[in-house]
Amino acid sequence: MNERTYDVVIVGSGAGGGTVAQELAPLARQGQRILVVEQGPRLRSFEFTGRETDMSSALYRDGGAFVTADRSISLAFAQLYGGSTVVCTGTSLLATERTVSDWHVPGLAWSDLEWRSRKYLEQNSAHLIPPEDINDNNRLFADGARAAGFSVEQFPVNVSGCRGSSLCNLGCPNGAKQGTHVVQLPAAERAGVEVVTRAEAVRVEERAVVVRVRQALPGEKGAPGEWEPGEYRVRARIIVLAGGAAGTTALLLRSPISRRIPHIGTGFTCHPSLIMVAEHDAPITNDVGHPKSFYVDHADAGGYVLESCMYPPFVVARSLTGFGADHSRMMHAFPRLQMILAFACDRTTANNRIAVDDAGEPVVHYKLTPEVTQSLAAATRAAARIFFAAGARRAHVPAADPPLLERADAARLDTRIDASHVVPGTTSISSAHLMGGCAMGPPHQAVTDAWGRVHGIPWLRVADASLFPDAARINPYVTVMVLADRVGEAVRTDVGVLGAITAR
Amino acid sequence: MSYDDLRSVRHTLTAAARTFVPEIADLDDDDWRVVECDIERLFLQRTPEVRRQVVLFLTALEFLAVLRFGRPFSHLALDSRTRFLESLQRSSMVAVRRGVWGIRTMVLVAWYTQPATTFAIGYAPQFDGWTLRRPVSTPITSTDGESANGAPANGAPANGAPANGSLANDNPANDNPVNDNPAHHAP
Repeated sequence: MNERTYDVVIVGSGAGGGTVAQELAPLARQGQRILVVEQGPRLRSFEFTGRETDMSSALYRDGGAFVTADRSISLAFAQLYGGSTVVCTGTSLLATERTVSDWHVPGLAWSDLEWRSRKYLEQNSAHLIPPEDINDNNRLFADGARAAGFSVEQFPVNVSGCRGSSLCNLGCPNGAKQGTHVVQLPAAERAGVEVVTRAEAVRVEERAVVVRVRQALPGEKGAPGEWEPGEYRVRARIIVLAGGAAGTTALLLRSPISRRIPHIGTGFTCHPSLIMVAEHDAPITNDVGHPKSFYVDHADAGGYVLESCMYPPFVVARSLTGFGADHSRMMHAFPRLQMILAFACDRTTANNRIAVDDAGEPVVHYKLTPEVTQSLAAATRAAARIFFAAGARRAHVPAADPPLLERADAARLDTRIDASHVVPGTTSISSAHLMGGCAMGPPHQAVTDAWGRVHGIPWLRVADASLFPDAARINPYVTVMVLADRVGEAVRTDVGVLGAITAR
Repeated sequence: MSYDDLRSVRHTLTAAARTFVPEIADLDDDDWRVVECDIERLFLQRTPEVRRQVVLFLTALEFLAVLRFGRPFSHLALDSRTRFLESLQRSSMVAVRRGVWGIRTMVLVAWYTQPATTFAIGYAPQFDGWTLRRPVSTPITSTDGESANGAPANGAPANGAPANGSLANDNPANDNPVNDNPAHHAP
């Protein structure tokens, strides 16, 4: 096995890993050796084609087909240079003060996160899309929600030079999205941080990570890997894990060191989501412009958040309930479709957790609780009210049976839409917010402290959404970045102390 | 569990696909083969365990239909296939429901990523989105998706061709992000 030695190794290059890499750039400038290992490839700008088939395969784990152990919820997360910041819509919000307070993490104050978030909102050019660039799909959400009595807010989004391709979830073809692949990682690399792609962390050993570097497959997107294919033992004084909730948790679980870390894998949440569509009489602009501009935050009042959204046909098709002629008719109304995403603010339970299979691959055990199905039903009623208040002719909502609601049904949504119709295995439920598995908190109930230090193992850190002790209750990437910012700060402080323990 | 295993149940898969998406029944063999190849690609992206379950479910589907209708699933008329799959989709057994859901998902994803399909349903994103397509605030349209001037009101040109626009990114291969519309089959 090849042997390499660094001062700090970061596993993963998304919102967590990219942020830590940038925060350790001063160390790199001082001559310390910082390495980022990323499982996926480094896509070149011309490889963002916007085509669903090849982009899904290139960007998402299992081509977007990763599902929970009981196959009832699809879980989307990206594996490439920049991680899921490449494919998210860039909605840039920090978890609320109430959420962070409810996490009860000793030493973690929302005011500290809020202060740090300003840096990332500025760095990532987060701003409100101007009214002239808001498409009809988003505008109808805002107008309908206000008419239905909801308080509507606009998302700041991290785009610069957005040309309105609407292809955010397939990776911006114009390089407008300010993910870590555009902002933090290039800055870190300019300062001397080394990034190695196509490099999977196989296991964590004592102050070392075993990494398997693979060759690009024929026809596979991405630049050639930076290291020769093969296995490497990379020794370091500090190891930071930032491979996402599933990736980091699975990496630890398949490593012998996991025996020293109780509570790994527990406390998984994912904001289970429904995608709903409604048909208007006339065509609307929906496949041009930023896809996600507005939201209704009912996390506290109803346990859900509604967001305007727009997805390509293959996502919409699988999100609709049923099949056959009715399904096809709805799909052929695509230019007239308004879309809303609803996610439930789930809470940790004893059974929802991340494990690994015999091959060490992540397995997500997740069951909808009655509270979550009630929240999804309530969210569906709210979405239906918004659709009809916006003038929709009919709506397709999976929490109704049959799922098609006509305008005349608007007066009896409470009876048509019911939690009993949210049926795993029939209702298409998805998630793109994987959280928990290596939660922050006190040693007797959590994996790390409030600075991402693994309890009892001072050289091992976690810096991604697996840190969340419970759901973020809003799109999580900014919260991941500010937590990673803290991890970076702690590493800068601790690397000198741990310097006495030289890498062997 | 390989590609060949899926081919062993291809008649059942074809019948299921034609039930999930009525337009698939209108395809000739060559055009169906294109869609089928994409289903196979999606199948191969699944884990070995899921692939095993897919083949097992399709095998069971064929023979469960014999118990209910006296004929294998692939020999049933569309109406019977539809009723049968709908009943399985409402089964009290989650394994049965997710079997339908899994096959349905692969078929729908394969179908709705075909360029000709996305073109036919009017999905036409462009790299230069707003440059090419400003919103029509009060579109004067009929309900069949065409504006008064004959152009699809989502902004694609009136001649029915995909709006290529100026693809000013640095990809020489970028003809059109989605709708390269090979017109290899008409959904």
